[in-house]
Amino acid sequence: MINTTITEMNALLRKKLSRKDFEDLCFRYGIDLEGDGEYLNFEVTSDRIEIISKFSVAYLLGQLIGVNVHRTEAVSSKKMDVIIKNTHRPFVNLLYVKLDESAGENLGEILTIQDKFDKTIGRNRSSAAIGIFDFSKLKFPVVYEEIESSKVLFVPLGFNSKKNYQEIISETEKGRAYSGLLKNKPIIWKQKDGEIFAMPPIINADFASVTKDTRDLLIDITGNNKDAVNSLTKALMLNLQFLGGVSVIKPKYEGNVIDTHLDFKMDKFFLNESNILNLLGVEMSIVEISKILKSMGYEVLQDKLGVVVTPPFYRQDVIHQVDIIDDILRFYGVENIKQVKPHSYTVGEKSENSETLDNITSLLVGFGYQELDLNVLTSEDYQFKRTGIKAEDYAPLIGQKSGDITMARSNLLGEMLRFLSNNLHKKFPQKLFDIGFVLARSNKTEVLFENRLRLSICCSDIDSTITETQGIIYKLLRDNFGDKNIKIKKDATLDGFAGALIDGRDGFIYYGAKKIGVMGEVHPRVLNEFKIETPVSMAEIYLDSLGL
Amino acid sequence: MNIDKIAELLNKNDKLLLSAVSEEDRYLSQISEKYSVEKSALFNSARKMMSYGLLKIINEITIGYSLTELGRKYLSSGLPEYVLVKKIRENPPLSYQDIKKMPLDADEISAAIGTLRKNKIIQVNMDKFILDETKVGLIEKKNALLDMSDLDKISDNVDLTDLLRRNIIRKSETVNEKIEITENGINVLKSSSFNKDLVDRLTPELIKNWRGVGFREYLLDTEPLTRPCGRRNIAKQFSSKVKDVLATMGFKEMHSNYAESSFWNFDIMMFKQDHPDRDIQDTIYIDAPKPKVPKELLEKVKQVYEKGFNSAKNDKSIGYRREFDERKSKVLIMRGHTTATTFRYISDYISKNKDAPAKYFSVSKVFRNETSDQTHLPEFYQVEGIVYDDNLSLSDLVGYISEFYKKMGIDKIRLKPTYNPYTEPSLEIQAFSPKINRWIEVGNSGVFRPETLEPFGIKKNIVAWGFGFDRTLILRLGIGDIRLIYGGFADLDFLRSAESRKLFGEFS
Repeated sequence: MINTTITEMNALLRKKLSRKDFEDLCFRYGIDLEGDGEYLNFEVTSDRIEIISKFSVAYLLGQLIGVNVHRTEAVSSKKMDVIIKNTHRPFVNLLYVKLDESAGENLGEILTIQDKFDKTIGRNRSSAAIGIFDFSKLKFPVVYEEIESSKVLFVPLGFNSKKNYQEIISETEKGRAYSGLLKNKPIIWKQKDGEIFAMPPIINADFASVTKDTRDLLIDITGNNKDAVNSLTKALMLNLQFLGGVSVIKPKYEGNVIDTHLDFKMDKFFLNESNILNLLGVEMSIVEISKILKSMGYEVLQDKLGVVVTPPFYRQDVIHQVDIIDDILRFYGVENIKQVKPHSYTVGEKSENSETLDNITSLLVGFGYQELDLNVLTSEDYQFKRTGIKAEDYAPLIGQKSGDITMARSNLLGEMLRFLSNNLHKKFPQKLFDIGFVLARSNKTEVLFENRLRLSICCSDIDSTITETQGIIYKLLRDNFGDKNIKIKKDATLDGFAGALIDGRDGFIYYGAKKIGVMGEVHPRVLNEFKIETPVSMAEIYLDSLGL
Repeated sequence: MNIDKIAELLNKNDKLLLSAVSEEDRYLSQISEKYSVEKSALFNSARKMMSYGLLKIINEITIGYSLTELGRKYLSSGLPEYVLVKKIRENPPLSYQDIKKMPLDADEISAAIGTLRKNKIIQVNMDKFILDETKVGLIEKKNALLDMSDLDKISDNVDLTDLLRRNIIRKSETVNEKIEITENGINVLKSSSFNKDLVDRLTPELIKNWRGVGFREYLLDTEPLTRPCGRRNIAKQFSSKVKDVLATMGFKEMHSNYAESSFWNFDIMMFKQDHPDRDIQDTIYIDAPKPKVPKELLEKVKQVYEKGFNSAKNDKSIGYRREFDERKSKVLIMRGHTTATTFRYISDYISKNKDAPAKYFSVSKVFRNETSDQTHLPEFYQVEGIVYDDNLSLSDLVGYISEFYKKMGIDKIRLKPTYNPYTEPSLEIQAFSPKINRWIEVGNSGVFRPETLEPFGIKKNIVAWGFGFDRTLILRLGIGDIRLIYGGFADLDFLRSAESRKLFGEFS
C-alpha cells in the first residue's frame, strides 16, 4: 500500500487532478485506490514489485497521461575503496546516490522504501536486505566481513553508548527481530580506522546513519539469494532515481567471493500488428504501438516485420511478448476492446450423473426433507470421537488457522449431527439430507485420496424411527436404479459405523449383491455427545458404488 | 361480529370449553382431564375464543422445589453438616483429623464446617470441635427439609438459598392456565346459534347426504402455522442455475479430486515457487505421503520455469531464470482453485485433440487456510469456464463474459486490468449493485500465459473466467453472514424460509 495525498501527487505530476481523475486513472491501469478525501492509498498488483513509493506510482500514472515525472535515468559506475570478503551472506551490491537536495522532507520516504523492500522482495530481510548510510561520515576503504561475535562493539542506531554483540541482539528491537538470520558469525561493515558502522542485516551504527542534512548515500544490498539481491537492487534504483543520481559501485573482491553479476541488459522481444490482433482482437498500427511503448519507457527499434522491444531495466515482470501487449492494453483502455459474440460450437452438458442426482433430490424434497450443504473440512472430534465411527485412512490436515479443522471428512454423518446440535430449537421434525463428496484413501489415484459421492439422510423427531428412513431408501433405489433385491443386513463393524448406531437397529444396505450404504438409529451415547435430545434415524448411502 | 355469528364459528372443543368454564371448572389441565381432551387442543380453543373476547386467560405461576441427584443422596445419608453434628455428639470433642476420616469428601467437609461455624453451632477449642446443643435444632430442621413431602408445602419464610446454591434442590415454575368467562362469552352461551348443529368435517357419509346440512364457517383471515416443507439448499439451487447457464452456452462439466498435488495446483500454472499463496498460511496441506506427478510433464514445466523457450520470433519466453525445485511439486494439498481441474482437462482432453474447439466448466468446492467470518469460509464454491478454439482473443473473452453475466441477470459490468500468475492479460470483472450503490468484484478472467500451455505443445489461445459465486449469492439473498447457508453452523430456519425468487431475475 502506498499512502500519499492528492496534493503530493499533483506536485509530482505538476497537475491539478481531482480524486475522480485519480480513480479513473487507477481503474484504467488496474491499480486499487482507497482512502478518503485528500488521502490516496494505492495498491499495485504483486507483479509490479518496483512500484512501491509515491514517486514510482506518480511516474507510472504520469506515463498514462503523458507527463514526465523528474527522474535521473543515467546509471554510472563509480570506483571506490570497498572490499568484500567471503561471508554467509555472500551476495552484495553497492550503490552511491547523490541526492538532488539534502534528504530533508524525503528522509521518511527513503526509510519507508527501505522498509517495504526488506519485507517484500527481501522476504523480511532473509533473502535480501538494504542498509543506508551517510556517505560523508565514512572513511574509506570500507570492508565487509565476518568477525567473532566477541569483537562486536559499537553504538547501535538510536542509542548513545557502545554495546557488545549480546547486548545488541537482546536489547535492540531490530536485534531481537533479525538476529535469527545470522547463521554463523556476525557480519560487519568496518571503515578505515577499524570502527564498525553496521552489522547487516540487523542494525547500523548510530554515527553513520542518515539525517535530514545528508546529501550523499552509500547503500548496501546484501543477502544469500542472488536473484533477490539483484532484483531488489534494480527496484530500489528506480525509486531512488527520483531523488538523485544513482551510481553502481564496483567493489574489490577478496578471497573466494561470488560476484552478483548485476547488469542492466534486458532481453529483447519481437512484436508486430498481428500479435496485438491475435491476443487483444484490436487492430493497431506499428506507429501506434511504438508510440505507446515509448511513452511507457520501453526502447523500441524498427525491425523488418515489426518492432524489437526492450523493457526498461526495472521491469522484471516482463518475460514474454504477452506482458508487453498487456501494457499496451492498459494504455489503450480495456473499455475500447470490442466484444465478439461467442461463436465456437460445442455441445454443452452437465455431469453424466446430474439427472439421477436431481431425481434423488426431488424425491427427498417430496418426502419433506431439507437439503444441506455440509462442510468438507472438519475434525477428528466431530468425525470419530463424538460419533463413535472408527477412524480409518482419512486425510489429516496440517497447520490450520481454524482450530476446529483438522481433517477432510470421511463420512457425512458427523457434520450432519453437528448441524442438528446447532439447530436444537428449530421446528421439528427436522428431516435433512445432503449429497457430497467424502475423501477416501485410494491407490487408484495419483493424489492418494479419491472423492467419493455419498448421500446422507437424517430424520430427527420425537417419534422418528428407522422405518421411515428404510421406506425412503427402497423408494430411492427402485426409482433410480431398478427393482433389484434390496436388503438390510446386520454386520459386526458396518464400515466403522457400528459404534454410532443402536445394536439391532442398524445394518448394511444391500442392493442386489452390492453393499451400498449403512442405516440405523443413532445411539443415545452419540446423541448425548452432540447434546441432541430427540431420536435420530440415519442412512449414509455410497452413491459412488451405484455408479454415481 | 354479532354474538350469533360468533357462536356459529365455534367448533366442538370450543363449545365444550366455554360450557365448562361457565360452570366451576377454571383450569385447562382440570378440564382436559375431566373431558379427556388434549390440553393443547383446549389451549388453541382458549386462544381462539380469547381473540373473540369470550374469555380471558390468566397464567397462574406456582413455584415448586425438587431434589437434585445430590439432594437425593443427602436424603438417605443426611446433609454433611447434619452427619457432622451427629458424629460430634457421639464422640465429643472431635479433632479435625477425626473428621477427615469420615465418609465425606473435602468439599463436603469444608461446606459442613463452614455452615456450622457461621451459625455458631460448633466452636473450635485447642483444635477440637465442640457442639452448642442449643442451636442444633436449626440443622435438624434443615435436614428434614429434604423430605419431598415437606418440600412441596414449603412456606415462603423458609430460607432455601443455601440448598439452592449448593445444588441440593432445584426450583421450578409451573404455569396453570386459569380461564375466566366474559360477559360476551355468557351471551354466546345463551345464543340460539350455540346449540345449532353445524358440521365441522365433511365425511364420506355427509357427501352422499349433504342436503339440509349446515357447515360451520372457517375463519381464513390469518396465516396458519404449517409444517416445514422439504426444500433444496439455496446455494445448491444457485449452483444448478449456474450449471444450466453454462451447459446452455455449450460448456461441458469437469470434475477432479479435492486432494491435489501442488504441481497441478501451482507449478503447471507457473506460480513462482515462493509465491505467498503456497504458504501454509494460505494453502491447506494434507499430512500424507508424496503424491505422484507425471514425470515427462514435470520435466517440461521445470524447463519452461527455469529457462523459458524460443518457439518462434513472436513466441519467446525467458522463464523465471531461477531454480525449480521438484520436491515442492510433490506435496499433497486440498485444491485451492478449480484451475487445477482445468489444467487436468487441458492435459487429458485438449492437448490430445488440438484441432477441435473445446469449452469446459466447473462449479465446485475449493479450500483455503482461512478462519470463518461473515464473508469468508475456508471452503467455498468456485465457478470456472474456459474456451479453446482457433483465433480466440481478449475480444472473444469479453464476449463470453458479457453473455454469461447477462444470463446470470447481471447486465451492468465493467472490466479492470489485474494480475494473475497464469493469465496475461488478466481482467477483474465488476458488477454494479444498485442495492449498495457500488461496483463490486464478481469475477476474474484472462488469457492463459503461453508458458502454461507450452508443456502441452498448445499454441492457440485459451480464454478463461471465474465467477464470484458466494459474493453474488449473498448479495442476491440480501444476507450479511455467509455462515447462514453452509456447514454445521447453518441456520435451519433460514434454509427453510430462503426465497428462491431471489436467485432469479435481474441482479440488484
